[in-house]
Amino acid sequence: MSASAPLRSALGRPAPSARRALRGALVLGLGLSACGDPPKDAAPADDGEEETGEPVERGPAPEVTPGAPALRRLTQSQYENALRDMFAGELYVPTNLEPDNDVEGLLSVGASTTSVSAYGVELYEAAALTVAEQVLASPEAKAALLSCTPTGPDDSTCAAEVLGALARRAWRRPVSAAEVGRLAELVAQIGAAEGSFDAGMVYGVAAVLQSPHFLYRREHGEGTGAVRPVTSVELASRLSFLLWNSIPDEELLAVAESGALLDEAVLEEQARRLLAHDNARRGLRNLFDEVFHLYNLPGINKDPLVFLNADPELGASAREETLLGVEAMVFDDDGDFRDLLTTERAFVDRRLAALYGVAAATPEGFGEVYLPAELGRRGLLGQASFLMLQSHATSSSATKRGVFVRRTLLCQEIPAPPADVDTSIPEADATSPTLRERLQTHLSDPYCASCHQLTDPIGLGFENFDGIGKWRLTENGATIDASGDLDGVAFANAWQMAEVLHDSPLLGPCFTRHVYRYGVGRVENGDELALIGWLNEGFAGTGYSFRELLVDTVLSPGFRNVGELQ
Amino acid sequence: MTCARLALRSPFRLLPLALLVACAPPAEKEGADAEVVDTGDLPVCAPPADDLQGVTFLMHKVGFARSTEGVAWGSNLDGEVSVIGDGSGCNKQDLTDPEGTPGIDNAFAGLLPTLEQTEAAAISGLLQDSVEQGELLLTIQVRGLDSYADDDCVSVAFGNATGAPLMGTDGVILAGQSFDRDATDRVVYVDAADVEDGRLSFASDFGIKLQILDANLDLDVTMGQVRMDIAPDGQSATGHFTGGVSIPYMLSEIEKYAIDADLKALLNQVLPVVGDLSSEPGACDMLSMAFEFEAIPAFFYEESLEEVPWGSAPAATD
Repeated sequence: MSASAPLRSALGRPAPSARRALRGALVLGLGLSACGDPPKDAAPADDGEEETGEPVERGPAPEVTPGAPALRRLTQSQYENALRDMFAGELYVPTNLEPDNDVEGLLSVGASTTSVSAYGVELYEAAALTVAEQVLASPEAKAALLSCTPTGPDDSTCAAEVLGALARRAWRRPVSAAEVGRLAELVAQIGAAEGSFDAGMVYGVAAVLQSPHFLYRREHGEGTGAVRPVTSVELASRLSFLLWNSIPDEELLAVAESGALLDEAVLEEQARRLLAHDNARRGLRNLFDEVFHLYNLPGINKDPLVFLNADPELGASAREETLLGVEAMVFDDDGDFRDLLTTERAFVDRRLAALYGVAAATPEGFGEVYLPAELGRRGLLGQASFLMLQSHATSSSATKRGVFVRRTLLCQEIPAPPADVDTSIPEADATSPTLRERLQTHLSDPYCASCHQLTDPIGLGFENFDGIGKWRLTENGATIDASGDLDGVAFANAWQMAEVLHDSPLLGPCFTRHVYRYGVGRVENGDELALIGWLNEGFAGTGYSFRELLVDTVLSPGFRNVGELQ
Repeated sequence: MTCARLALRSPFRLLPLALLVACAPPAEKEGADAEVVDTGDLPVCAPPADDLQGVTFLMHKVGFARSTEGVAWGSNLDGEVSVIGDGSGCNKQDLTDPEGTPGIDNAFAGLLPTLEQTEAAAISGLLQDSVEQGELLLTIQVRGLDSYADDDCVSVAFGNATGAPLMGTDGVILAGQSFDRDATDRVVYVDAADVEDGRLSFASDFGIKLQILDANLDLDVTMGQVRMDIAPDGQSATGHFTGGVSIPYMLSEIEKYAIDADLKALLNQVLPVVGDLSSEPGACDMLSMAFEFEAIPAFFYEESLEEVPWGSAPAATD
């Protein structure tokens, strides 16, 4: 028998009656108002099951008028992935680029609203030249790029052949003879001046990579009216960036150029082909990187005097743990997506294993371990990624953790605090040793309580984890009370709360919405909420298979059409 | 463990450590590598087969147990409470431990201040350095433990771990880390130990492999006693281990290395007369030595535990 066995007995599932109560409350929209108002932007809570739990037959997709098309700039990760997919061999891709912008929690949505500053243009130019020089200097990359042997430094015919193919790939569409001619002429002129074909090609390649056709994703659609189909090649890009977070490969581009991709069966076939490819793991990782803001973890600032485990690599390890868990769930198991919250399986390296208090599986890299119940830690919300990110540099934060649950997992809107409000909390003292007592300020002041009553009772449930996710039973010598309730459903601790959230009818719709927004690069309009609800019905109907949700999203009219061009 | 494996790549840096070279005579070492202590009439506690891991403590702070006014940690190794002139204990005055237990054998504690006035001044610091550099990772693994407070039948393995320890931001080895079992060093298995009021005690000879700076040292400790007090939450432990080392062997080792002449003269003068334990009646040829430690929870990689099965001998080495 384990010495920690008594703790295990304290953990357990919330009573079925309590789970039913939560489900009912959520479906009816009770108690979920953000700061006193009904939650905004909350996706429909229909989980596609009848009260018996049996899946119901889903009707046809609702007719929707999609939002106006967006012109998306490549995110930094898309820029890097695209270059790596275009060129062979090792490649250093500069990261000093115009920064991505988080809008509504997603960089992919922010990419539709950002412009490029004059300085940003210089950064893209410098990056393009850096990459082009590497490609022409690397025997492997150069051999893969040059499909012809130049007859001289100003061989515009060879330049046109090479850059025509490169531009088609980079710009993700057929290129015109005029476009290719301009590129070839540039190479010929510089090649002649420098006495070197390669010197000219450096500028030719760089020109392709600096082009707005490469840096921006044009998904304007065609035709007229309020509902217009995206073109076949635009659809290929949408598909590829959704599933691979990169440009289409040759097969997809060829299918798109033939126009066949507009056929639903072909589109589904291509979607499933892409999902079966290793690049899909990269795409999925990026999706969750954005949704959970994991990209903020490497180099995250934590006070080393407070957190002894907070070495500089911990954040990066925490990010990888979460992404490996998502990968395993989606690609290795094709399991119930909601199990991300309750899984007792974790992928940890030595550093995280020490933080969690479990034996590491391997001395090097990450390995799969099982988290025993007595550790009180399971699922996404027991991972250091969430617990570190949603904390302060010197302490945990019940408010930030509660906001994350509301906003990111349940898609409820929690307004930011007013600019003039004092958000500090009292220092710990003998009468208020734990955060629960100190947060009473939030809850006793009606002005603060309107929002904090929605976040803090949830966030306090994670107080057994400090600001980097290390388990603790006490704070300042006092026993931590991690009990609370989520809209009327009581939980004793984070371990129980995981199940409450797993069973929340808002969880599925929320992630359906994340995927939809990520795929189309903008916030849905009211019309599209119905489509998201319909997609969620399908999600639930497949046992919350995330892969099927991705395919369903791709085939949906919201993904294949755009609204009026504005 | 063999003294032949002693490797000195930098004797100059090893000077303070020469005293730690205390390999037992070869004749005493036959068959000692896979050691299961004779428990006499005590019950033998079979470790649970479904829990290879058990609970492991890593000694992350190790130092020599020092004496102050006749008080020092250690154990009564010879069963006697010796007073100078009473004919027992080689006529050496035993110490009393901080809990008031008399008869404590830890003669090295009396020698330590003198050594620290010589070239061996840094001996304590080097010992801790070897811990933090992963060269001395002593572990006590306990299987079948039902309670940190009381358990009358647990199985214990005392040995070395290997691996590069992760350090906390305070410069101390982090708790909860995983290591490999040192498959090349011996592990002492005790299949009938008990925990009483949080105190794990067991008797055993043991070997400690010291890799300090450029030196690889093996230390055989006979007549050993180990004691560890486990915190109620199991998140820390403190304790000490005590045993005797062979003085003739220490003297022979000292002659092999380029030790500072003054220090060598001092050791040759002092060591023959400080023996407080005997390998045979009246020999007084062993020096008692105690180490204090603080320990934290740790783990072994499952693969490592499978590679070095419980009770097994170490892998053969050249």
